[in-house]
Amino acid sequence: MGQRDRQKQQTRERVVAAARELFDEIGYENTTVRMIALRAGVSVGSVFTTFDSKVAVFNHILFERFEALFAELDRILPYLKGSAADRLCSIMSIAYGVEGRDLKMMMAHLAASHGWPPEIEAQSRQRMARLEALFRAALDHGVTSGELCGDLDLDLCVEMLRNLYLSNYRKAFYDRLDAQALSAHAERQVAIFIRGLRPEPLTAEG
Amino acid sequence: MKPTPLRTPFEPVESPANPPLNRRQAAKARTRERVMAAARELFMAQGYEGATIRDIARHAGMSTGAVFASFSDKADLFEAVFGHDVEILAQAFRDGAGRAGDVLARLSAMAELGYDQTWDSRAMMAVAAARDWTTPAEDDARARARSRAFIGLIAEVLRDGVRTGEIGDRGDLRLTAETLWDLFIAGYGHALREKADAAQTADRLAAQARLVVTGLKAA
Repeated sequence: MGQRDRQKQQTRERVVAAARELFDEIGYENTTVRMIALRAGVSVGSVFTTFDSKVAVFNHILFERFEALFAELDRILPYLKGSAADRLCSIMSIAYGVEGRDLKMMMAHLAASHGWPPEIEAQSRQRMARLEALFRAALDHGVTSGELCGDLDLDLCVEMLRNLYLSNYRKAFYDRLDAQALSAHAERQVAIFIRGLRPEPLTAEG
Repeated sequence: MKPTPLRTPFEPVESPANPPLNRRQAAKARTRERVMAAARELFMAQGYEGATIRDIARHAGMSTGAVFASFSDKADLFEAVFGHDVEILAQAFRDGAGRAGDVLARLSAMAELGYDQTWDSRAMMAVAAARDWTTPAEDDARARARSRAFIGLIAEVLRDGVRTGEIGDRGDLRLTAETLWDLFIAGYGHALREKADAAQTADRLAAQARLVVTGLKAA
């Protein structure tokens, strides 16, 4: 790497670090490129030579976060054991553990999802699709093992889990839940989702 | 079993004053209406953060100052516009919950009427759900109180089901009601992404409610 490239790389890292701090402190919407430049100690022009826009910086940070999340999931997945509920809870708990670290980033991501440029929207969907695939695999496992009924609508179930997973960020923000509390909340939801609210067969007939 | 009468602590909609308006007041009310109509269009097209007061003023064909004469800030304006949708949804939920039938039938009716009555505002619902976490604390509190009221309505229906022995209560009715509310709201975003209509969205939610109510467990 030439000196020029090294410098460029350094600028990029400083911009990312500054943006990350600002997004967390005052939120994505309130952060301007000028503020990022000021915090990073570089010129506004330098920010734009490394990223096209504020959205691009944001997307880069999200990308890094998702990479960290999937690295963690890939590491843990081979060890996942137990029922479909256990597996789903583990996946959510890992996800909340990584994403919950900067909850505000996630909230900003969800808040800004209305009006993302199409290419970023597409990337965002791709990442969510990876998580959905994991939910699906856990459900599949439950069906195969006979724990879950064979004729369940997998698409619908995956969509539900995805919606629950995402809605819980708002819950976490409202109720100031940390990753652990959020995982516990998701665990209760998954329990309902899996076993339903029907009375036990015995009492229902009795 | 007769459904429990439902009460909800929704804030009353701000309605135009009852006594006849004088000319000045009438003009002010008209301005307010125009601003709200323009704001609704822009919020739905561009999201909360994307729609600026300047754009809204221009869209309404008036000055930024005229907008501020009617609304203290963007949050205030959003609240006025969205409050209307909330009232409509609340009425739809009350009507649905008041239907005869089992838990699932009543929940499905709430979803059906809810989506149907608010369908033209579905983008508004999605925008409100996604509103930035940077909203001032008082708006945050308002949004939460609103959610609680809807969740309360759903919980009433579930409690009726417990009373009749239709469903069991393992101490998670509130959580279940919250979850159903989250799923209902998520339905708007899903519909916008997938270009689904109100009936499809309601069916999809009813299917989700069915899963929640009956459970996934193999018999």
